[in-house]
Amino acid sequence: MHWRPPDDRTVRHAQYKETALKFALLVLKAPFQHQASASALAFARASLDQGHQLVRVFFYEEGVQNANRLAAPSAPDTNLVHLWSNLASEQGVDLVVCASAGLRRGLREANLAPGFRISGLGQLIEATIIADRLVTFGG
Amino acid sequence: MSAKRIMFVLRNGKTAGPSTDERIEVAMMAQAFDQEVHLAYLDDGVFTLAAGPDDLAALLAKIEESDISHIWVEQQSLAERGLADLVLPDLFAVLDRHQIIELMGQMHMVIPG
Repeated sequence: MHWRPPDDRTVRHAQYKETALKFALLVLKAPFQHQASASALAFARASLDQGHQLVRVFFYEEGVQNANRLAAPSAPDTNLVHLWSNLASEQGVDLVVCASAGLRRGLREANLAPGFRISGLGQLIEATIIADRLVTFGG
Repeated sequence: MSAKRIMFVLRNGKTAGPSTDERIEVAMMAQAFDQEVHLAYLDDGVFTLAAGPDDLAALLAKIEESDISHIWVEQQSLAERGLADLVLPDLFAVLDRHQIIELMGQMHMVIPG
């Protein structure tokens, strides 16, 4: 049997396993205000696809608008609120919205999208302590 | 678990909405979790320090209450906004842009503003 180079995907997968990181994400901009939310979602999906761990996604400042289930954009495929909810239901990602930043912007349990939960800033700090990297979107 | 060095960058003035105050709140929370917290005032963030004695006193009270002791203000940001002569409390250290960059390199995490 002739030697042949290993399948690229096998090599990459092995490398991912060895270098798997724990990420925490911080989203600071509203979904229809800035590219930040879409980029964060893409980063979250890509990091999970590559075998990394997502400790938590924390929504702060204007980013709390990502959790408003009353948002109704005209094109459903760009409804980032739904896309975040889908990520939570499909992958079990912990999506946390800051309680005080949410209150300032009219976000309550009543209009919270599925898959999100409201909690305090301590959840962000805890995630930064646990994670190898905190990646901020919209700073 | 050892404390992480976390820098919170403040680049917006008071007129940018509640985000400046929110950045201070999260820095205070990190300090409460015994992390090594650094605040860096850059760009329009320096306007926060020139907002008036009452605002500055309120900010100082918050910072002192939380025991945050690493507070940096960028010299060039002050100069570019006509604030080179601004008198700051001792708690605030004015650093050159290159020194701020060097400091950022020593952090575990930098949260941009």
